Amino acid sequence: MGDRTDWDDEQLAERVRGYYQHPAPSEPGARERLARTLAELPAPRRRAPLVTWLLGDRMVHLHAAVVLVVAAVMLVAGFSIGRLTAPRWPAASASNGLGASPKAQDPNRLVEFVLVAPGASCVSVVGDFNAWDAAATPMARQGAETWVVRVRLSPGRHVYAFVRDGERWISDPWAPLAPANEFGFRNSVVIVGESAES
Amino acid sequence: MKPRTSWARLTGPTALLVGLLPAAVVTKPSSNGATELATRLGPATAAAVQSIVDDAGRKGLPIGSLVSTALEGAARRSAADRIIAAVRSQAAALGQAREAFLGGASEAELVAGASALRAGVPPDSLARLRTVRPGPVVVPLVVLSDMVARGVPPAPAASAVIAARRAGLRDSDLLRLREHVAQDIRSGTRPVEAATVRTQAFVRAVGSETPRSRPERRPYLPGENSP
Repeated sequence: MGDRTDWDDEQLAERVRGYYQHPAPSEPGARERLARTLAELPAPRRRAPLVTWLLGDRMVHLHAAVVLVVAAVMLVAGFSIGRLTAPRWPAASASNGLGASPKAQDPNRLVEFVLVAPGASCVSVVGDFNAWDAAATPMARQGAETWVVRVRLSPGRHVYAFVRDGERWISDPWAPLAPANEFGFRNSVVIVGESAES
Repeated sequence: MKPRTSWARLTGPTALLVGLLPAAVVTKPSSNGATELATRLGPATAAAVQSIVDDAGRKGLPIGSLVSTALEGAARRSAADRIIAAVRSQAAALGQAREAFLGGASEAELVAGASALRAGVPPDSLARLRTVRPGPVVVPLVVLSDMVARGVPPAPAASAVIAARRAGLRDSDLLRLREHVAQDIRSGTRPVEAATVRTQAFVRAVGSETPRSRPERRPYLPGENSP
């Protein structure tokens, strides 16, 4: 590496010293030309007052309560914007509603799960929408044998099952089935608003 | 007027950013389920599952179904190794579905496609479902998986759904077709026969409708089965 330099350190230092000790003589009239050029440049655009206010480097004094109120307003606005901008699906689709079947109700994406379970003491629905928690969505008895619950589901494909008496998992006999999974069970499927053609 | 506090000294843009921060946090999509996993699984199982989930996330695969699989296993009180195997298998199926779709699939399509592949549906059927007619294929995949789950062999089931979609059956028609096939199978008809006969009947019915009531059909692509 050391033999590739064109300049050794001493030569370079000498050259730099010489440059600064004997600056190049200025060209005659250079100052005047520079002044003329600068004078001909367009004046910088003035910023709008709001932009100046926003970008200006200055102090703003805020009361702690004001900061909290602004943050609270932004929080509420965030929730509202999130709800308004959430993807909307044109329709809901499910099975035909015979017996135990989810009935999709389009506008609110409420899905009604129904199971006819004679002799059951309690029934709940579990699925990817409630983290498969058997205690999360208990169904209500309607009549002697029918159990019903309405769940607000997000658009898309959901898998679910019924849990009878806290331990027996049951597929929905009227809904589409998913293939058997590693746990040896065929879950049921409901599609909420996925179809653009129905 | 003398300011009452001196600590909150902010420039305009900084104040706006600070104010907007809560909104950004609120509208952010939900987390990757780490909290649920840690709560419902043992520490070692949760860590193993989280590792698979993180890896899938890095590959751009949807992780919601992986977390759901793990939670389902926990709800069923499955053994830890079974839960981990199920999550790993689901992650692999999602990757295969993405390959089979040749890109451009939505999250719901990938999950439904993974489910179909796990049922034994030929991978090329996924891409063909999309090429025979534009539009989402979640419902066709759900119908296809359902037929297979009820005993229709994967290849004939795929041919039936592809033919139905190519013929112009809408998603609502496909769901009705599924119901009829399921009913026929419950009544004792052989699954493959139920799928074939019912599909042909639906395709004929669609063909007899007025063209105005149906969307335009695409011409057949080379290599596709004729209905």
